[in-house]
Amino acid sequence: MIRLSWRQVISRRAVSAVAAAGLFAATFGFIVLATTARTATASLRGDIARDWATPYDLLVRPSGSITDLERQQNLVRPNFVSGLNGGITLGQLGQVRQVPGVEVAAPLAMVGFVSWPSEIHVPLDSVGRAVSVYRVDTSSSSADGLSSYPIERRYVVVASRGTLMTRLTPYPNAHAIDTLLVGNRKIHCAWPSVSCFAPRVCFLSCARQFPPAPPGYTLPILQPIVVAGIDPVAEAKLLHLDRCVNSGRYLAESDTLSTLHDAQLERIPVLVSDRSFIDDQFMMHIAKAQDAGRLLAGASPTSLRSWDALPTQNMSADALYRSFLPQLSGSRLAPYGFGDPYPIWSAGDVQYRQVGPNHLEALTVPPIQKLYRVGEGNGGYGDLPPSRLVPPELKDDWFRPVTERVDRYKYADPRFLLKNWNPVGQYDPSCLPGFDRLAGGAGVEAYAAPVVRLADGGELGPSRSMADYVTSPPLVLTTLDGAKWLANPRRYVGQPGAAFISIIRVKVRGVGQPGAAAKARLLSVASDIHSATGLQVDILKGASAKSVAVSLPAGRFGRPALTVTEGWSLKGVALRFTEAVRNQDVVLFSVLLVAGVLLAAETAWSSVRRRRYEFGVLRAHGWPTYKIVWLVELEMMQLGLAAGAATLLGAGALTLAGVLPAHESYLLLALPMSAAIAAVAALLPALSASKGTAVSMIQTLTPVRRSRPPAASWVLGLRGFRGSRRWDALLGGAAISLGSAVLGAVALVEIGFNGRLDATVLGTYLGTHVHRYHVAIGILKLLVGGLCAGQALTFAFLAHRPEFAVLRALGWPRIQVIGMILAQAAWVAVVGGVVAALAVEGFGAELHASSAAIGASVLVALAAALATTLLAFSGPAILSWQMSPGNALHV
Amino acid sequence: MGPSGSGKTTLLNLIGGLDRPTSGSIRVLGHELQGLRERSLTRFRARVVGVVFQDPHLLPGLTALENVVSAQLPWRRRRQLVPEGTEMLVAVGLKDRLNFPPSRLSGGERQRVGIARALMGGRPLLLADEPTGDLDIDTAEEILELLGSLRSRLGLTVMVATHDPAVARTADRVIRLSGGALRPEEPVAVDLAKRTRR
Repeated sequence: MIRLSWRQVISRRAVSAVAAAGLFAATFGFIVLATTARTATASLRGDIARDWATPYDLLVRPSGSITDLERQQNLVRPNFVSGLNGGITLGQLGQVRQVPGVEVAAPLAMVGFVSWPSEIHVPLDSVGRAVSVYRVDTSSSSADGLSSYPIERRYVVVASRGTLMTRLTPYPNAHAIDTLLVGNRKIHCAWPSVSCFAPRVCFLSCARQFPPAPPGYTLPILQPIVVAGIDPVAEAKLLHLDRCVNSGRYLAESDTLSTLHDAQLERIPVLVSDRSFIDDQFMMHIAKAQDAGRLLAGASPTSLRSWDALPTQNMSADALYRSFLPQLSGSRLAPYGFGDPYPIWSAGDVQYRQVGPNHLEALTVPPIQKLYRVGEGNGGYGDLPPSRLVPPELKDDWFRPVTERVDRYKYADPRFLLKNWNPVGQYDPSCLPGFDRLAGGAGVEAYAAPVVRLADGGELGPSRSMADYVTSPPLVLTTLDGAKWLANPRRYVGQPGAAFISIIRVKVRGVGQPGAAAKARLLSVASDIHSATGLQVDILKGASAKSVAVSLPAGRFGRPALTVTEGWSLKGVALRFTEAVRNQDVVLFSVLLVAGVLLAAETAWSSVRRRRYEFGVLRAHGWPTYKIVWLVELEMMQLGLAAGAATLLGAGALTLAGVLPAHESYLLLALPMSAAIAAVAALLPALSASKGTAVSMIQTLTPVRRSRPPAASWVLGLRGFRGSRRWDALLGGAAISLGSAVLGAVALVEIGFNGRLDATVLGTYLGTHVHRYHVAIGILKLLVGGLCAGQALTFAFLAHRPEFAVLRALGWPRIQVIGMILAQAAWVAVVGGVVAALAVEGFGAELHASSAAIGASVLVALAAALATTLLAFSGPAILSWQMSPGNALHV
Repeated sequence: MGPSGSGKTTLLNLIGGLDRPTSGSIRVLGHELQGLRERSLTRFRARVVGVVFQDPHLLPGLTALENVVSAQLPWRRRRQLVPEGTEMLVAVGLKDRLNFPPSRLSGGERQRVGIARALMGGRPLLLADEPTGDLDIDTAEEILELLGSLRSRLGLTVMVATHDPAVARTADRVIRLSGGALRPEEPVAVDLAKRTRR
């Protein structure tokens, strides 16, 4: 039986070759597409509905930002973004925004810490004496008062008369050396521990006098400020940040950087928080010398022994920050003032060690003492000693690595500019949605500092130490342009450069109520983002707060070992990305197999029809019907196996050559898939072949409907598609319609949705880009459809070749015979085109595409159907043109 | 007349404008076929020559009338063709078979349809290539009678290629072919009525 069927296949070489080519195109195309058109697919574990009210849906971050705790326990520490210094490029942000379904993609670029200078000033006077001496012991406290950091002891000498003579030490360690002259007495004001004030101030000689400074104690403070870059428009859409502006105005897209070349400044537009979150307190313990007159006798302030304590002066770092804000526009940071000469510091993340269930220990890192190296002669506080410049909190244990990004600025070198802040307004972070909740700890990033609770109910806030356990949220927001400028490693050594964005918060369009559709939509968008960018994507839905105990070792300045409680985020869902073929694409690829089935089915129909007499004879010789079915099936399956073997060889060779990725499972599918397609295709024709009695099969009757004689040759052509041949025409039309519909649909997405599809059709979420392989699928399907239609037309021609030859002999012009074939081709084109056009129109209507887009796509589908049919028509047309009636009748 | 392979069909094809000679010239009823383009040859076939083949190769999806009409479809309108086709089918004795499909016609009837089709358009010359080759004796006789009758009624010239001497005897003139060459004419005078059965 196998040999017999194989001989049948061999004896009809041309027909078998066409069918095998179609099967090969279908299986080879499927396997190539399935192995190459792989995209990231996300699988989700967990319940996204558990916490649905999140301000955004997805969090995109650098792939290397996942900690061990997160990987193992789904735990994310609050405000973890503060430890993320870039990792995402503007290009990736653009890719995220192009993903179908992304409604808002709001980037946050953590630039790092900058230093804003301010000062504490306590007025002191001489209280009517010739000289008064004050001793000021300044310290600061943090960690809810548990840590106390001595800052300095300074003596302030205030003379009610006399002259303060001042001069400078030689450059570069320039600082003022003052001498107070009271009468004929000289009081040496030892810098920096003694500050002197007199009604008259002379520089070098009294030929040059300065206005006297108000007497008092002044402590310069460098406040570490976290700067972040945002997209104002996206931020407004996502969190309505624009509604939280309480003075000035919101950042606008038109807020661009501006260069003041003369001043070597780059003005950076910023929106500033109206609070600082830093919980440090400054304390000035002031005492007044009882025996200040000894100074006039030559004693130094440090040698005085009798002091009267005055009320301690306190000031919080937050109050200092707030008091500084109004001066911001008029300060040295303001336009045409000095630039900001300080480096940018970036702080890393805290490392933990698990010490028990829900109990972690924060690990300290070695401190780096060479911070706060300020470029020489850049102004600002460059003339202050480190003891007064560096926040003493930095001498405590470090929990985060801090890296200094030194400014490459060079005075008078126009290639370098100093940053200069251009405040446009202030915002209130507490007005942001979810502020309370985020403060409660369930947020993975925030404009608020995380709440770290002590056992006694107190809270641990950020300090002036950038390396402290609790870090400050961004207080200064600039545009992405501003952030990019600040992230340039050519200006600030070690800054991340192009990949300066830390996270992207994504709101997905149309995610309504929790459910399967919402889940599918989130998964699809997450997969697309991951696929497009390679970045880590998390679904925030379902995340909840989880209280975690964290042990902090005892500090060096009084803070005992503590166990604090933090509200961490427990990711409710775990996303796992695998590179796989999307189900939507598998469906598309499978349609290619359907086209292969149609082609093989048509081959089988045609073969069975022509061999009906032969089967009748076999039946007459006693063949049972199932044997005939099996014979037809065997023939087609052998064709399928041949096509499968060719696919295996072709795809295998491409895999070995490295053109195709290695997917053995797909390669091994080639043989059974191709054979199965052929078997399925042959089933109905085989059953048809066995239908009827031996006599009825031998006496082939062609049914004729009574009708008027044909009016033209093309009508005659159409009548050729009556009876069993109509199935050929329908199969050919169907095969063409598949390809045309796919191309039309691709065109619809391209024209109507700019290549990005994001829609729910019949309850199924569709979201994809138009990839090149989508076009390839359409073209492959068209090719198979063309083969199918070409086969139908060719067989129709060959089957009636003698009749056509007779007509030619009777005086029919060649063109009339070709016209008949053309009419048949037109019928196939109409079937294929109309079905495809209806499918595209229906698809477009479901997607709510514009009429113009649908119309254009329908035209594409029709044009594709027409072009393919013309291709299919060309074969029999050429045969007909070349046919000699004499020869045709001789054969 | 001649044995198989003697060139009978080739000669008919050349006369009918179905084939072109490699050398020499062909003149048919005043039409010089030599050098005619395909379009002119087609027109010649449509107006001058009707051809009947051993197998009439009727279009299976059409009725007898439709098959007959279809022969002139490219040249004339249906309303002209249908009466003429009907007349031709009546003339060949198929008055009751107008709307029969080929599958319901006997071999002789199918050949009659073929003859009717070949006569459409008033062609003066009818070429018949072994028109009785597939038929039994009675049917063959009927066909030959029909051809004779039509020849006289319509004033046709009928040229029949055959290897059957019995068929040849019905002709007014017999040309013998052998190995692709003409042999001297041999007069044949056979009364159809006296023709013996094989």
